Amino acid sequence: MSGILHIAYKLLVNDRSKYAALLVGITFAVFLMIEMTSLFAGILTRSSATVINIGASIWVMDPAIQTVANTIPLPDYALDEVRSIPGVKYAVPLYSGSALLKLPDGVYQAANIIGLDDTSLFGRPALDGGNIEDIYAENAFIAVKDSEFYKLENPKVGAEFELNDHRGVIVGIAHVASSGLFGVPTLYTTYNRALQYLPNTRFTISYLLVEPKSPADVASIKRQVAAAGYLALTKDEFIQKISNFYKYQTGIGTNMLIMTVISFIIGLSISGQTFYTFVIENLEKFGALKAIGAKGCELISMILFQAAFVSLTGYGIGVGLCAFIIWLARLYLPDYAAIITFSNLILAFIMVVVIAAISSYVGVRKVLRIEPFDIFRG
Amino acid sequence: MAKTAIEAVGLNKWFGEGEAKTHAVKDVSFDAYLGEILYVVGPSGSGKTTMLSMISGILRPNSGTVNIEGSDIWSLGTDALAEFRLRKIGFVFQDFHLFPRLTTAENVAIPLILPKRNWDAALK
Repeated sequence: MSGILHIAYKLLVNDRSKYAALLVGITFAVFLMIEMTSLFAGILTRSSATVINIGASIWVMDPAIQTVANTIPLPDYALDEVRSIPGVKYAVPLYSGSALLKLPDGVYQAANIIGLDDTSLFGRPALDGGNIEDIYAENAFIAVKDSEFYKLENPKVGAEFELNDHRGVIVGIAHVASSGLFGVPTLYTTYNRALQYLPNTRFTISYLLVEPKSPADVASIKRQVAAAGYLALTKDEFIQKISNFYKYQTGIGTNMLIMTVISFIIGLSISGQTFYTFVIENLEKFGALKAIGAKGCELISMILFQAAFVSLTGYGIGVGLCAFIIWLARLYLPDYAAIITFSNLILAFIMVVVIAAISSYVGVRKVLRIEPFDIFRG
Repeated sequence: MAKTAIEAVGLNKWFGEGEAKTHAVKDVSFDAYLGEILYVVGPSGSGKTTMLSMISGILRPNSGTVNIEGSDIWSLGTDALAEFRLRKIGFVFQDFHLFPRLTTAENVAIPLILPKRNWDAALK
């Protein structure tokens, strides 16, 4: 570190009360910004939980579908239409719906029911207990051990429940990549059993899961599916469509954006004001350095160094604090949906840079205007 | 004969305009020689600090020249003038302007630290 920056460092960190106030301001702003955006990222990820967990390459659906939670059934002949498209390796039906379970103690609990293709069981979850073959047994269901599992009263293999006056038996306990958004547990069964146990409309297929022969076939499959009157989306496109729905067609995105902007303004006002006060209080010191022979660019480098140092330190502490709070929250609230993504970190970093830039700009203007003669005169 | 260190010619400095105009230094010329100790004595407000500021490159005069080592310091650019103050001029400010966040040694070493010298080397 050059001597001038060493002076800047000592001026900053040795003024402990100001340094602490600056760090608290930046840390608080970063914490709020990352917490808000992480919650949003967590909600968006969970909103696409079924798409992520099933993992099909292409999803065929009614064009009016906006989220995976709201299904518009497709006619049964759509399956044959899609299977006949050149480039389709295989296509299987998927049932996705909800049901009210009556648990052994008489409590009613809503649950997501996923009906997998009877032949291939495509999209089946990884089992922690039980055998996948048992899904073909009478009344068989597989329970997903996610953050909502306890709502099924933590069933073991062999546990029973009622579903529309049908007996249900848990034959396996599974885990999936992502928990759902709506706080209800998930059960997997076969497609045909789902149709038997749950009341249905005339059309029954929720989605068609398609695997192309090669990635090059995806575009032509999408075109031909569209020509048949349906919509084919790749897994990533479907996740994006669901995200867009929650971002732009519900209040969630706007609220999170407002909270993030408020966090930014709070951080800017606390840090900017404290840094401005810090510069003002040290103005005569900067003036003295100028009188001794420090050049304007050296004084600017001092201010920028101080702003950058305090911002990056506050950013690091803020990120650490946010990660700790999310970890702590998950210990007590398994449903807590917050994910720190690289995008969140980059966004918060950009905002911190903006806060540092605005704070230092004000300081630089003050320092460059000071006349050494005013310092010399006393 | 001693070599000329500072040659001030026709220095003038005034503050304010119109009726508020105050002539702090008027037509001051003098030579200071190397090895010479020069005292500037006068009552408060007589322009001592203003004159010292002009000959040390801190305050630009309204007219006149200050030649040090054969060159007019007020013809230098801002950075060159800062470099001149750093290399050629030593100050003790009237209010000291010490840095309370730095140690005594660090305060004394500031003119050595500024010319991009290593921190530890400057403190030795």
